[in-house]
Amino acid sequence: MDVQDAVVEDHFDAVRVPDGVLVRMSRNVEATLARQIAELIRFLAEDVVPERRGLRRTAAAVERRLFPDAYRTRVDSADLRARHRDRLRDTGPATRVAAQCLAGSPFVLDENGVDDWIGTIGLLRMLRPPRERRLSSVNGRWYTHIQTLLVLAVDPRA
Amino acid sequence: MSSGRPWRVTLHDDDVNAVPVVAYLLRTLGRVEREAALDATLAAHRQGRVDFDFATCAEAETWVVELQRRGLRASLGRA
Repeated sequence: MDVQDAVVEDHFDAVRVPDGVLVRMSRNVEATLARQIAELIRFLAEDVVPERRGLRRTAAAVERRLFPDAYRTRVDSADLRARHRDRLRDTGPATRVAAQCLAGSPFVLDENGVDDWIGTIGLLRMLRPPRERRLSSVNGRWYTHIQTLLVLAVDPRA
Repeated sequence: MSSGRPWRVTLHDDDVNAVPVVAYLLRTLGRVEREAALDATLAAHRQGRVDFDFATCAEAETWVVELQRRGLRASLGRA
């Protein structure tokens, strides 16, 4: 094996097919997404904050990153998060997306599946520290790439 | 001029979500038609925010929750 053989190309694409959206990824992208989504699920279900070297974040701070204050006051905003906790903390979409990553591509998504992916990637982005979620960051570019390809595949006029 | 709908949801611009994705979500979440969704997304991008009026607090809260659980930044209050 020479050096070229050792290079694994990152790849994700989504194209429209008659019964939905066909998704194809390289194995390393599947593994990376599955690992990151597992962190998201642990946070949504158990308030476990992903560890990052040199960064200490509380569960409350991460929650407010994912679900920012919606009312003018913190008290009203916390009440809203509590009233809608089941919906905000629903791990169903992320669990389904993680299962698809672990099972491996290709697979076909219907519109509900596309919504699972777009929402999960959207939350995944907000779980990252600020510097890692911007469009200029590697992770930020990947999240945007995935979401945009899915949207354009399901709705080419978007 | 009042819309007669006393609750207002504000979608805030951010530097992370792409225009086609936001427009798609506004449309598929059932709030606005295709052209209006794109117009609203671009308005948020240019002006920093765009508002949607609702008849009840419950409707407005539901809308905020659905936007936030997809990684968009939304808030609400009295119109």
